[in-house]
Amino acid sequence: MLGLLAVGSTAAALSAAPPIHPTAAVLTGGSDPGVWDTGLAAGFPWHRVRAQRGLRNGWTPFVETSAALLTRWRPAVGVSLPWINRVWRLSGEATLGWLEQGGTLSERGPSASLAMTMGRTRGVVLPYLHAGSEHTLHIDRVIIDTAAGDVIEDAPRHGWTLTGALGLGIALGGRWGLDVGLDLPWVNVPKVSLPGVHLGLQFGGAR
Amino acid sequence: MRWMALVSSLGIGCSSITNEKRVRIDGRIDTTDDLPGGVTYVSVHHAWLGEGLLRHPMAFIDATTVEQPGDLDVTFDIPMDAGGEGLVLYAWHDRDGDGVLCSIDGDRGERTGAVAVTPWPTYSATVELTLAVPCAGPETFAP
Repeated sequence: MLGLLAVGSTAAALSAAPPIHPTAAVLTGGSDPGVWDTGLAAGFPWHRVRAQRGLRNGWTPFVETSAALLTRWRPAVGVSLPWINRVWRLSGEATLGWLEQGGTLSERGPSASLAMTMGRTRGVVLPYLHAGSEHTLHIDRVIIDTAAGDVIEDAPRHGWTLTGALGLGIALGGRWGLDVGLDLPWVNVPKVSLPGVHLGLQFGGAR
Repeated sequence: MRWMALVSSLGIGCSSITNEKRVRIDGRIDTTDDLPGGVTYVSVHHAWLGEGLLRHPMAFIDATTVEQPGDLDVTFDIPMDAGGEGLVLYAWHDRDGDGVLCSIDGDRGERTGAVAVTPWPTYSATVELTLAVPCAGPETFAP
């Protein structure tokens, strides 16, 4: 995956472009070198917080936390890299995180994801599209009470969630912006998931 | 796989934790008919499970087979988290070997029976069961 991400690093590094707006940076996966950008999105059922900082070679490491109904949490660290970086940008990103879901359908485990983001980086109206695949390792434990003592049996299980979103970002001045978006995840394929909506706020440009 | 074992050993990394109790049931199953051979299907059930409108008898847990009516020595892992009450062992003798209890085109005299495992919960129990009732499903023997 890192090799795949690296395909675009040269092009990204070589492209001389005006500073990218924080809204575009957060929504399309990449900040200018040395620049901090942050995003906060609230909606139903998904919420998301993200902070990222651009590096010189085009890579943008980030930390983020997403939550569904404040019940299904996934904090993660990741890195993104623009593959195509012009007026429209195509980026790839990878994350490592931990899934923690409470409630009656509780589940948890380490997870990793790959995603692609496409969006417009110039102008006031910034449409974007996100698609990703998230994989979680669940361990189902059975504790069997036997006459000879407890026997513990662990069974690994793969959890697969497809992530998706599309929306419009609006640049408000140089450092602020917002977006409205439609969340289209497919949580724990093949179970049925409902779409969601969110309103996001972005702030950044700080060095 | 080593890191998976590490995560697992922490306990907090488990998506679900289910508690079961392993019970060994021995004894004997006899039948009132004199037809030899055939497999005997043996299953264990919660005597009752659920609450309110969902409360129902003879909730299936697990099943196995023994070669024919005779000595019995089986082991089952019984879920303990669902709130099931009691434990019942049910059996039927598949005289015609079709795998179906009293199928329309098969033997309509296959014998069945059930016995409560007492006391419950326990690690081991001895039962004596005589299959005497033709074509009766588990619910027929609800306590």
